[in-house]
Amino acid sequence: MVSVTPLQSRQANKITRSEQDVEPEQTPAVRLESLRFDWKKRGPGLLEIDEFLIGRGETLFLYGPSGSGKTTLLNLLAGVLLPTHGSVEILDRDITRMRPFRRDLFRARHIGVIFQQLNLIPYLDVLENVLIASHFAKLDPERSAAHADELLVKLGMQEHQHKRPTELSIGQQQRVAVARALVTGPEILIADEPTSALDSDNREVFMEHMLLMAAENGTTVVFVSHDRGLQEHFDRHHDIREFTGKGGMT
Amino acid sequence: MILKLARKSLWNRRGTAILTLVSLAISVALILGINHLRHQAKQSFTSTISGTDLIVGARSGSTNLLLYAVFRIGNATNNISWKSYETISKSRDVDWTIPISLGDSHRGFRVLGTDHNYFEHYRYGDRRDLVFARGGPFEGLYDTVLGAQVARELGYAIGDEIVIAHGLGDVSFSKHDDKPFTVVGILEPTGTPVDRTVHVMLEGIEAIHLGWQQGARMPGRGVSAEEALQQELKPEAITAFLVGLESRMATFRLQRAINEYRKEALTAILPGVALAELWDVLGMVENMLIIVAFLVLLATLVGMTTTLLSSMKERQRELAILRAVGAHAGYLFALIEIEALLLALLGVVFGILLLTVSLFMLQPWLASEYGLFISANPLNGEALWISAGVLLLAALLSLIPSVVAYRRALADGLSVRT
Repeated sequence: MVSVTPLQSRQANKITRSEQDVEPEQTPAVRLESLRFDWKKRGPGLLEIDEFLIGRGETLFLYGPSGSGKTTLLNLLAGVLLPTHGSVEILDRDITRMRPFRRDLFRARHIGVIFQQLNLIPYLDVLENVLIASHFAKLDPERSAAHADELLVKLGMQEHQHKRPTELSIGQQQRVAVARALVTGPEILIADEPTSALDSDNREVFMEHMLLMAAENGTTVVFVSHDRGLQEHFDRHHDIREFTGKGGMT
Repeated sequence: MILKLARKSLWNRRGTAILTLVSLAISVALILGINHLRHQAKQSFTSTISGTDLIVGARSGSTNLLLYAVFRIGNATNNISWKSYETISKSRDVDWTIPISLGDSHRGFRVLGTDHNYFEHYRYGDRRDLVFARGGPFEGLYDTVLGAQVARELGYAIGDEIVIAHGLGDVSFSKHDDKPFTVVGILEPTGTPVDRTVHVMLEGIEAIHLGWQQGARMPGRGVSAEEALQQELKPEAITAFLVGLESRMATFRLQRAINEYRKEALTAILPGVALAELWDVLGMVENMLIIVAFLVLLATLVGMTTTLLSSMKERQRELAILRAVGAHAGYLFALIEIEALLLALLGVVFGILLLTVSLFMLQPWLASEYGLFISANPLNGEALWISAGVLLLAALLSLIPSVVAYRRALADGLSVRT
């Protein structure tokens, strides 16, 4: 953990464009600066973010219609895509300047990712799917196994740990995805429409589990969805179109 | 971990993986099998005749002489006079000689006139003797000893009578049916042209041609079998003869002497050298076979690559997940490579197994039906090199899907294009 510096704290306070002001206790979890992403090759538009901060432990809800660049932003945060310009600082480290190998390891250790659906590798069982994350994070296998067990118990999935993903309902699969995303104890959790394939009951269960467990871990959550009905669960919400150059954020 | 992933991923796609594996195993078995047979055939071919130092015939090319004297293929350009034969066989350095007289046939098999030296001195393979399966050498004028294949194909047993046809046609109209021969011996299979030969005494050849001129029976001048027995049958000419020397040191000296023999135009050849030369000619076929086998293998490996490549689409999600949990793009590259290598390795192992089992099962049949003695162990230095080559080729070809995986991992990020 990085200690608080007054400057960053002040900056965060000043620059955070949140609807409800959040007092960041430490350095921000995420800081995007003069970020540009040119995606001409794939479609129209340009992701433009002059400055954007997400505090530690904060939960952020990003909404917008599909195709508006939500996933691209998540890819940039995860360090899977690189911006055309600018920096992506995660936990005070600019991941755009890391060497690719370090960046991937950084992602493995500090960022958990949950997809819309089909989060799990079909030929691994539930437990293996969870533990593969700690494998890439190069964490101690024994402690990871204990942690995975703990998470699966909390998610009510322990009895299914040796089942294949295909034997699970979509709701169960998404819960396993939560366990996989959190098994490394990441500081940041990125979720890309993880509830879109769930019915409303499952959606509530999922949101509850995910947010509760993220909170227990002190994990910052960046949640993307087009379903604004979910935004009440989060500290802040933003329309992705603020960042696409057509909106008003530039 | 990466091995476990590759293994489980392959198993997850076991339908196509097993099909790929089967075709790989077959083509590996094919290429190794052809290579194995090539070596075995060469070995067997070049030892069609052994222990003989020189083969002597009328002047002709060495291949021609070898073909008719050893393989019973084609015809002699000319005969050798009995006188020359006697002179040479009595010369210093000569240990033994085997006269060979060809020209007649029995139901498609060549008839060879010779003497007892044949059974005593003829060697093939690794200096193996001719062994009688049943009976023994000919003693009487109308006795015959059959090669293994002749006896088997025509169903002859000891005591059967056979009629020799004049000339070489499969169905000859002029037959020496007045003087039938009795089977007194049948040889064990040798895997050489001996198996397809009907052996009789030189004098027997003379006997059946008594009263014949210009290849036709002269009316009214027939000599009965009994009458022929009374006559002194001394051959005037033979087709060729094999020479064994007291000392191999003398080989070249005698060869030169025969080639320069004044009274008759003769050719003496070294069987080993001539066989090797002939094999080089046949080597073209052998190379063609290897090329075909290689192309089959290449097609199989390209098929494997195609399968891997087309599986990349359905595996986009899997690769995106691995990226998300922190796998390096190079890891995905390595994963696909390892899957391909795993398949290729299994293909090689199963191919070798398949070949060994087939050889093992075919071995007795080949030996009894064709007199082909083939080792059931196809593993030799070259087979290992070929196997290594298969793996290398697989690794090279699967660079294509691996690079696709690598580039997609970098370009697509966590999203999946569908």
